[in-house]
Amino acid sequence: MIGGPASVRVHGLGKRLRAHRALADVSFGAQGGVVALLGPNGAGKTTLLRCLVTVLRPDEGEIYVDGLDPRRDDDRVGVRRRLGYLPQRFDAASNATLFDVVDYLAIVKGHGGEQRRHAEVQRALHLVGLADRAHTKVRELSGGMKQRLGIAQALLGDPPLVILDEPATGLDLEQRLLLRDRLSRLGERSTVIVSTHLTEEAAAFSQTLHVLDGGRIVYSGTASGLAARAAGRVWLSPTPVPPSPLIRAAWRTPDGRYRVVADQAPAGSIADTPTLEDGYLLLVGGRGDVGANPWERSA
Amino acid sequence: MNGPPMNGPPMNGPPNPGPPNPEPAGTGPIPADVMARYVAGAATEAEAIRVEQTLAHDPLARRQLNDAAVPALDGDRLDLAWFGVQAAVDLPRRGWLERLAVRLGLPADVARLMAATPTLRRAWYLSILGALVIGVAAASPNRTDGGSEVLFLTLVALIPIVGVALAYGPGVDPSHEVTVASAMSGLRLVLVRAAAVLAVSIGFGLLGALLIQRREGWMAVAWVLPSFGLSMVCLALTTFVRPKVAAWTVGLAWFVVATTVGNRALDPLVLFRPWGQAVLFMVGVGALGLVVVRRRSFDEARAA
Repeated sequence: MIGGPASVRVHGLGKRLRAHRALADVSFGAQGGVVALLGPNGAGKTTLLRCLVTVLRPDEGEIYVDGLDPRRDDDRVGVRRRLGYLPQRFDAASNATLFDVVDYLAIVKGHGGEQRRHAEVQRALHLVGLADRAHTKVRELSGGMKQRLGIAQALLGDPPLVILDEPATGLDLEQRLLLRDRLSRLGERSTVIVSTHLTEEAAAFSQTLHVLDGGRIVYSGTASGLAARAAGRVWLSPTPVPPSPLIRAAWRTPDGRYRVVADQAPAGSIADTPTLEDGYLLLVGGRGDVGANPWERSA
Repeated sequence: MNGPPMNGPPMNGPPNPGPPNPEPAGTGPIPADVMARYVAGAATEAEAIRVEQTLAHDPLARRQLNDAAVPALDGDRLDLAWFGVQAAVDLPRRGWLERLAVRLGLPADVARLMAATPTLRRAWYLSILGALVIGVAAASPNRTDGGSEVLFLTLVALIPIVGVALAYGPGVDPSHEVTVASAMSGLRLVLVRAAAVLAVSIGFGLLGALLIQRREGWMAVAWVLPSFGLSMVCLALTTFVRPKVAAWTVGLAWFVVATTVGNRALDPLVLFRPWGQAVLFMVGVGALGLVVVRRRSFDEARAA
């Protein structure tokens, strides 16, 4: 392991993917702990993470990892030595065993010394609860197990910077709890940046959230701070509310009432306690195109 | 979690007698702070000598060392040692290609990189055999105008191109993105894998060549240098376009050129004569140079 948690500084990052502006003026910093990137699909989370792991070159702005600038060839290798990375869609050769997959990636990541590398591979598999299946073929794994295999390779060698793109995908509740536990422990000695589109996962992973929408960071702070943003903007209405530019989101709850996140109280509604999800919807929810019944809207 | 390197006391073998001890040995228990420094590998030379001489004859001192050393082996280091034992006990048998590569003198990690080449799987071997069967069948012994050899050589030379194009890249290698984000140079990995594919393809190709009757013995290997040249051109093209596009482009171009140039030159085998081979080999060397110049393209993600 190289030193302690990596220091990450991102300033004014911009990236175009063909004609689409995927990132615009993204800035944030982190050193130690777990940082969650929260945002809807297409918000730019994956593009941002791919820039951080140096597989995509940003069009604008700067990234520094422990002071290293990935635009320089030597520095880029230095950044990669500090990295553990789980891409959004991790996969491996179906006819290989779990041990072979992680061992191969350990070689590619520069883990020298066969005996020590094998021990490290076994340890990484143990961390995700797959040590006893080390010699199982990848094709025999469920989706959740394959995801855990991807997390195992990202944890090889205790990297100072761990970047996980949607790590909870495909994991059941027990596995998600294990993942939260591992990330929390990992954050004590590494900088962990994790993306998710699920608010409850983001809050469970981290105390620091960055919400992305349309390629921009629209909120940086704590989960409770995000929930507090929705204070005075969450309503319960006994009847459906008509579409309005003031309404960010509305849905029917199990008790038959309508929960509305809006800048103004709908007629006949009462205020309700805001949650993290309400705060998130306030930021990235529909811009007035959300009707009282989303099922009707989509039909 | 890997823990610091082992720098504690020697655990095996006789104690180091070292130079004469400035202090008399066995003058009572070793101070706890001296033992702690010794266990941590931070004792002065004089302290280390004193500890080791005392250990040689004093069972109490050995117990003191044991008590001091055990807590120093933190859980992570013990875990790693245990995982090492597990890995050693359960180590799976290497595949035949990996074993062969190690036997030929390649380092074990390079052999593993080669063996993990996505192309080198059952489907790939079957496709090589299929291509050879077609090539051998096409090389009818009844034809005496050289056309059968041209067809065979043209087809066999194509095999490595496909292999090289499918040895690396998105859409081919399931863990491509993780590989690109690793510290290993993408160029090194590409060349290792291309070498593996070329070696296997050439082996199969020679086997196929032996199966058909040749008017001239050298024809059995006449496709090797052109094949190398084409593979390198294909690799160079992958620094600009997707690997599959590169393979199709080079493959089609080669097929058209190989089957028409010979006719125009009044010698169907012109591309496989020594001069033709030399030209194609030089083209390959030039393409390899371009690959090296454009190596950065192997270190960045591209669309599948």
